Amino acid sequence: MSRTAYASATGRRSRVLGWAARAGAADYGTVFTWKTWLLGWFVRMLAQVLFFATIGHLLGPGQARYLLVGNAVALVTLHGVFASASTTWELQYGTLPLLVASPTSPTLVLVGRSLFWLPDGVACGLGALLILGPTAGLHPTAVSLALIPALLVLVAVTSYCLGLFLGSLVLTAVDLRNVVSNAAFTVMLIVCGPEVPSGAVGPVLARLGQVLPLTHGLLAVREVLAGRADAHTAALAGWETLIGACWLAAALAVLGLRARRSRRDGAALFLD
Amino acid sequence: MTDGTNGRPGDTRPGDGEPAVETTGLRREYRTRRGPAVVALDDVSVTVERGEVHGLLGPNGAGKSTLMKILSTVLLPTAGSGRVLGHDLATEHRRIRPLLGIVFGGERGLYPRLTARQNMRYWAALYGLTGREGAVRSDALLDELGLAERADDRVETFSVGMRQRLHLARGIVGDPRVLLLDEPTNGLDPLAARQLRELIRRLAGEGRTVLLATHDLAEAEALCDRVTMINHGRVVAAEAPKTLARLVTHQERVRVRAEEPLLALVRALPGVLGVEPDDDGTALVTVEDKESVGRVLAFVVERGVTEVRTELPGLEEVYLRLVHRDETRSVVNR
Repeated sequence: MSRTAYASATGRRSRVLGWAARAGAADYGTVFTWKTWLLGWFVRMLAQVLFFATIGHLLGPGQARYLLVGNAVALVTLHGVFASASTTWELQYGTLPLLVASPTSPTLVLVGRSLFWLPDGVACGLGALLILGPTAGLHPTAVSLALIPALLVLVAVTSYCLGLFLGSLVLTAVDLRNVVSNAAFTVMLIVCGPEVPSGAVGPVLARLGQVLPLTHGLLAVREVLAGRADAHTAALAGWETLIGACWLAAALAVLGLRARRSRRDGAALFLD
Repeated sequence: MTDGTNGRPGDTRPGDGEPAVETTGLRREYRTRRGPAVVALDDVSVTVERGEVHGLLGPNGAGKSTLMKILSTVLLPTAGSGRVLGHDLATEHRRIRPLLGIVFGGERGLYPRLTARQNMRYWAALYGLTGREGAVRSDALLDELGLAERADDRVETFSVGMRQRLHLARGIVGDPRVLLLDEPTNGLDPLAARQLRELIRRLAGEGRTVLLATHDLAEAEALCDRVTMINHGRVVAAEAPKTLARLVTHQERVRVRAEEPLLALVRALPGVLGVEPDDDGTALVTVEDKESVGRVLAFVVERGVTEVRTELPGLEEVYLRLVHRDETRSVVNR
C-alpha cells in the first residue's frame, strides 16, 4: 500500500462541505438551466410578489410597499425552507450508509448538500426588490443597497437552518418532504410578518413568529428601506442570527440522535 | 501501507498480533412492531487474519449483509462483541472507520449527477485525503479500473458494470486496511469480473484484508483463502473453499458432454458410482477415487469426447448438504 497524505480536520470538513454543495448544485442543475431558471422560476417568483403588491395597491396607501417588501423577503425564506425537501435526496441515492461508515460525519454532508438554495433565494428576493420596488415607491439608497443584500443572505441562512431541522425530521419520510416545507412556509407567511404585522395575528401566533427565522430579519429590512438603519436594526439582525443558530443546533442534535438510534435499532435510515 | 505517522484520522496502529476481524457470539435482532423479534445473526464467531481474503457465503437472507453492516460500524450487535484491527466495534467505531473500505452491492451509493472523477474526489475528501492526494489517487484508480476515458462523464450515464467498478474504486480511494466487499462482481461481464478479481487479488497482495460476501463458490474458490458459510444467521462452516467442498463429499466428479449409449458404457466402468445426465447435454459422473477419475477421462477422450472436466460440488449443493447436516445435528442435540 502506498503512503497516503491526510488533510487536517478543518481542511477535510471544508472540502467535504464544498463537495456536498457541488453534488446538491448538480442535482439542482437537472431541474433548471440558466434560461429556464430566469424565464421560468425567476419570473414566476416576481409574479408572486407582484400579485401581493397589486393587492396592496387595492388596500390603500403604503400597503403595496408593505406587501411587496414582505413577500420579496419571504421568497428568500421559501428557498431556505426548501432545504427540508432536498435533504432527503441523499436518502434516495443510497449513499447514507456509506456516509455513516465514512470517517466524516454525514451531518456535514447534509448541511452542505442543499446550499444551492441560498444564492437562488437571495437572487429572487433581491431581484424582486430591485425590479418591482419602484412600482411601490421603493427607491433604494446607496446605504440600503449595501445593507439589504447582507440582510437577505442572513435571512437565507437562518431559514436554511430551519429547513435543515425540518429535513432532519422527515429524512426517512420522503413522502412528507414537500408537505412539511410548504406547511412551514405557510405558517411563516402568517406569523412572521410578510403579509400582516406580527401583532395582528394574536399573542400566541406572534410569540411563535418570534422564534422563527424571517421575523426579525424582515423587520430589519423594512427599517433599512425606510432609511432608519441604526442600532435597533443591528439588534434585529442579531436576533435573527441567534434564532438561526438555535435552529441549526436543533437540526444537528436531531441528526446526531437519529444516527445513534439507527445504529442501535437498525432503523430504515441506514438500511436502505 | 499507511503506518500511522502520516495523519490518518483515528489511526493508532493497534497491536499487530490481533486478527483483522474477530467477532465472538455476535447476535443481531430486529424488533418488529407486531410479532416477535427477527433474529438476523445468532452466535456468529468469525476470525479473519490480517492479509487474508475471506469469503462470506450464504443465500439471500442468511445474514451476510447484517454482518457486513455490523463490521462496517453502521449497525450495533444486539449481543456479543467484535473487533476490527484491534478496535472494538461498539465503542471505537470512529477509530475503525478510517481503516475500512466498503463496497456494498447494487447500483446505488454513488452521486449520479456528478462525474466519476468528482465522485472519487468527493469520497477521497470524506476519507480525509488532501485535495492533491485525492486527485492523484482518484485518477490512478479510474485508470486502473478502465474508467479513465469516461472519468468526466456523469455516473447516471454509466452501465451497471461501470458503476460496479466505480464502486470498488470509491471503496479503496481512502487506502483502507480492511475491505468489505458485498457482491462486487454482480452485473459485470466475464471479462470485467475477471479484471475485478485480479484487482482484489492485487489489493490482498499489498497486505490488505478482504472480506468478500458472495453467492459464487467459483469466485470464492478463485479469490479466498478461507470462507465462512452462514445459514439462518448462524455459521455453518468456516474452512478453505476446497476443504468446504470436501466436507460434503469425498467422492470425485467428472462432467462430460456425452449422450447414450456412451454414458451406459461409462456407467459400467469400475469405480463409477453414478451417471446423472443434465438438461444441458452434459452428464455428471461420480466416481469413488482419483484412480477412477483417470480411467473415466481416458475412456471418454478415446471415444472422441472433447468437453470434459473435473468439478467440485456447487455452492447450492454444499449449502444444502451442510444445512441438512447442521439441522440434523440440531435435532439430535435436542
